[in-house]
Amino acid sequence: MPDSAVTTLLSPEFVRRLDRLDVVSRRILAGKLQGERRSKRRGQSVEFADYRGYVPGDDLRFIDWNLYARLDRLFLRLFMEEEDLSVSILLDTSASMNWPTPEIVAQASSDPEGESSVITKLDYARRVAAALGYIGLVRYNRVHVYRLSGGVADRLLNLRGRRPIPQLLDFIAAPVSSRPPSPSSLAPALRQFALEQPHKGVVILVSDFLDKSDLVPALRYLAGDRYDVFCLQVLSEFERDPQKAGIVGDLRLLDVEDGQAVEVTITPELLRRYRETLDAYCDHLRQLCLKRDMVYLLTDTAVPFETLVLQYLRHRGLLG
Amino acid sequence: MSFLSPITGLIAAGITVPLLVLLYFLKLRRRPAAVSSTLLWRRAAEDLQANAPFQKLRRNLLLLLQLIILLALAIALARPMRTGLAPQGQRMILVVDRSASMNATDGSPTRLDQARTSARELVEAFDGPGGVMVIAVGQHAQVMTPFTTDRARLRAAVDAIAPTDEVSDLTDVAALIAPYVPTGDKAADADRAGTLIYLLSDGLLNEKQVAATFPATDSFRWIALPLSESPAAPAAGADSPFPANVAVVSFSLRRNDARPAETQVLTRLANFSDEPVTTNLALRVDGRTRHARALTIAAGQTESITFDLILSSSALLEVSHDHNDLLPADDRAALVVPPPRRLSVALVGQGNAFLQKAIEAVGVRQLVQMTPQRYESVTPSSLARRAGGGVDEGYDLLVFDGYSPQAVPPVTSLYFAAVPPAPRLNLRGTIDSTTQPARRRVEPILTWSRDHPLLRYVALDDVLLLDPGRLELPDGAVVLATAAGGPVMAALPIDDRLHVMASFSPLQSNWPIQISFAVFMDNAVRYLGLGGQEEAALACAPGQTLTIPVDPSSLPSGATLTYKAGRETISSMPQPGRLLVGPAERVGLYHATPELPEPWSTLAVNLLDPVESDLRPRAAGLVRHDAAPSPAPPTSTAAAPMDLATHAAASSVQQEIWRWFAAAALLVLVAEWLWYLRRLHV
Repeated sequence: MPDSAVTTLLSPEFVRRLDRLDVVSRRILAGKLQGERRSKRRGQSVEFADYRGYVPGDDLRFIDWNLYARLDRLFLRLFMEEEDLSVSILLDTSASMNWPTPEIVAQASSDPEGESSVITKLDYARRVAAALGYIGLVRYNRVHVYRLSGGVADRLLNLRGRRPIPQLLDFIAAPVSSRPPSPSSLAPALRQFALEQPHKGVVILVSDFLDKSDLVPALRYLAGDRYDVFCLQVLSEFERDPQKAGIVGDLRLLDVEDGQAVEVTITPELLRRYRETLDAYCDHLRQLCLKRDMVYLLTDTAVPFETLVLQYLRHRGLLG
Repeated sequence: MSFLSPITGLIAAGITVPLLVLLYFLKLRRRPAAVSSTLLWRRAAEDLQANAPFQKLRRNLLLLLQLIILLALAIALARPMRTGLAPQGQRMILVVDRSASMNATDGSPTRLDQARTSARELVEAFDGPGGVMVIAVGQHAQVMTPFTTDRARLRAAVDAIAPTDEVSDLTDVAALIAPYVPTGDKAADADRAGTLIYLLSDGLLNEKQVAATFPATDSFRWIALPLSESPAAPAAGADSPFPANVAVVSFSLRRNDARPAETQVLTRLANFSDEPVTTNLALRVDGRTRHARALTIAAGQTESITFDLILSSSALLEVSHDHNDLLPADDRAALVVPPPRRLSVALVGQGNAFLQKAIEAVGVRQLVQMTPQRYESVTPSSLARRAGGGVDEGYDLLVFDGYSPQAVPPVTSLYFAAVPPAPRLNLRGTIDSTTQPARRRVEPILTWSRDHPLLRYVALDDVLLLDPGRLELPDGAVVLATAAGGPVMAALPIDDRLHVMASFSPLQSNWPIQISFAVFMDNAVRYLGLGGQEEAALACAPGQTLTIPVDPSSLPSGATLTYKAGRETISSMPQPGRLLVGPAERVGLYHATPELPEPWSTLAVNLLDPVESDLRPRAAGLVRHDAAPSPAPPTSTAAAPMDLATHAAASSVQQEIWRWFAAAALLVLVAEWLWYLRRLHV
């Protein structure tokens, strides 16, 4: 797949390994078109499901004549219906995802002990979204991609089959339009998504979930039987260990989203408190997801992307 | 603490401290840093502030440290001065008296303890580059540590100064400190300048020795003990009298010449106080109390007591009093009395009736007269007595009249107009009266040592000598009498036996016809015949070395003779045919290990020194040690008496201590830097 977006987001070798995967739903959700997924409905696949008595009007092609010969009664053979799966990938493209900033990355890269392959959370999330979208398309699922930033900033709907893969990847890799700092919240974006996507399906929300407003109303829009929700929280390794990003000394910390400032003096005690707060916040989010029957997944940019997709997501049941 | 330039310091502090505080009041310029969200940071910071009540204080620790640095530097600029005891100089010599009187319990608890405390204070305060030397002095001086700046070593040296019951003698100290005492020669004194000499003593020292030993300059200071603030030592002039000290100052025994078993014990007690004292005196013989009597001694007086005893064999005599006073060492004395012994004396010469009569008058067992030729034919070893030998074997004393033996005799000897062949010992100037009659001259004896046991009660004022010779004496000789031409009588120990020489013949003087001649011969025969021991009993003073006529080969193989009394031990050194024991540092009764024949199994060490026992504070100065307490005011200019308070005022020094504050500022600066780094590199 020589497309540039593909090679940027997904290496050819990795793509070959993705071909063996499929998006797994914990629920059997009704699709609109026939696909490669077993449906609750009886249909026209080759897989036998059951018998039922013939009623006038039924398609005579499905009458089991052998059974009629033995029992002298007409039975209709029922087959499993194979449907497609609706996979919605919600990619948070808010400003907080586009961190660490290039300056911080450059500083960390110049540090001889620093890692040179520092990427932003958004890059990482893009790759995850690309991989999941690719798998969905290869498996003939209906794939929808939403880019969230304050609301649903952009969307690419009803992709199916291998043909729109480049389109999907281009959409995911498209640059984020820079806009003045403003508070971005997940709640309006998810509300908009819930309104636009009434069909059942798998919803994969990729975000850092660093939302200053309450997350409960936001997640409420995804709760319920309609969606099989996977919340993938992507953190930067620099958020886990701020010292690597040069967060030391007397600082005026500026929020990249809303421009709010916090004046702090970094001390070992404050760092310890920060890590405790981060852990508590992640645990709080996990509890929220658990209560709403959502799967919560946490990763950071230090975890190799391939490891995340090929091992972690499979282990957690998103991929099979 | 005072300041040399307080204005400078005030100005510096006045400018810098408000400036620093002002800088802190200004808003701290913080470095901006972009973070993905301030959500977690804000919560963490709020948590921290809520849980750390002293957060503000901790944040201001840097300010506090910087203020301390500034203040320390400002104080250093003001050049602070310290007034104190701190002695200033290149080096310091501490001479600590540890004689018997320093054991008086009017210090804390003893004077020596106070001396050690003062010495420690001086060591701590001194910071001269040359270091400190500590010398302890009793009968002999001991260098506890040579010059060193190692305070731990100095403290250990001071702590190691053990008490003794010796009589103080500064002779060794003079030799030790001589290289550091100014001589008056400016060129030579340039190197000696800057040496402080401290004497920590109660002043019971030989005044002449003090004058000769210590310089009469400011570099010598005397810390008089006990210190005036001692609870047990009222200051001079106070209403309460000084606690009395009653001492046994003399304890001797004399046998009746005719009936040797009859003995007379002489004891003298002295009351060194301004109040009459009543005490009980007890005399014990072999541990049993034989006599006890109450005794009242007038203030500042002595009381003599005589006891008559029948002692037909060896005995141990002890005398003690029960007055509870400051110095226990002089409260008792002991004598080991050997069995009655009459002396055997040989007179070598051409015959001298005066000498013969004088010796016989002493009551010797036998007097053998022999010519020089006969003397030289006798085997030297048969001249000496041996322990356990027969009564007729050997002699106790040899008297040479006008004949110098060819070898040093192995027996204590007395020489008239003759000397033993010892190195650097010569007798010169003896003029043959027959050849040069015109040049004969008559000389009186000018001075003599009245305190020496040989010359006790001997008056030589009217003795005239005809052409006396002149003694050339080696080191170690003690001059007993001096005429115009030089020493005419001296004592010289050779191989630990005393040899007394007179440079004249009695026949060439008017001495034999005077009573003093008989007294001298009596003293000489008894003192020399008994091996240097006074009277007929054995005892020694602390610091003395005693010769015991016991052959070391008679001891069990591998055994070393030691005398023990409690924890105190006296070691011995084997010599050919005899043992040298001592010196003993403490008084007491010592018992020999292994057992020795009587009377050598027990050794009595007594203080018996009226000067060491006179503990009364001396506001006037040093006392004379070689005579009775001098009624005359002290003439020494070497050391003015002063207590420590006066001394401190006199020797207080102004010491600049800005270095301490600069060093403190540096230390705090390092601490501040470390704290800052800790904040940066979390």
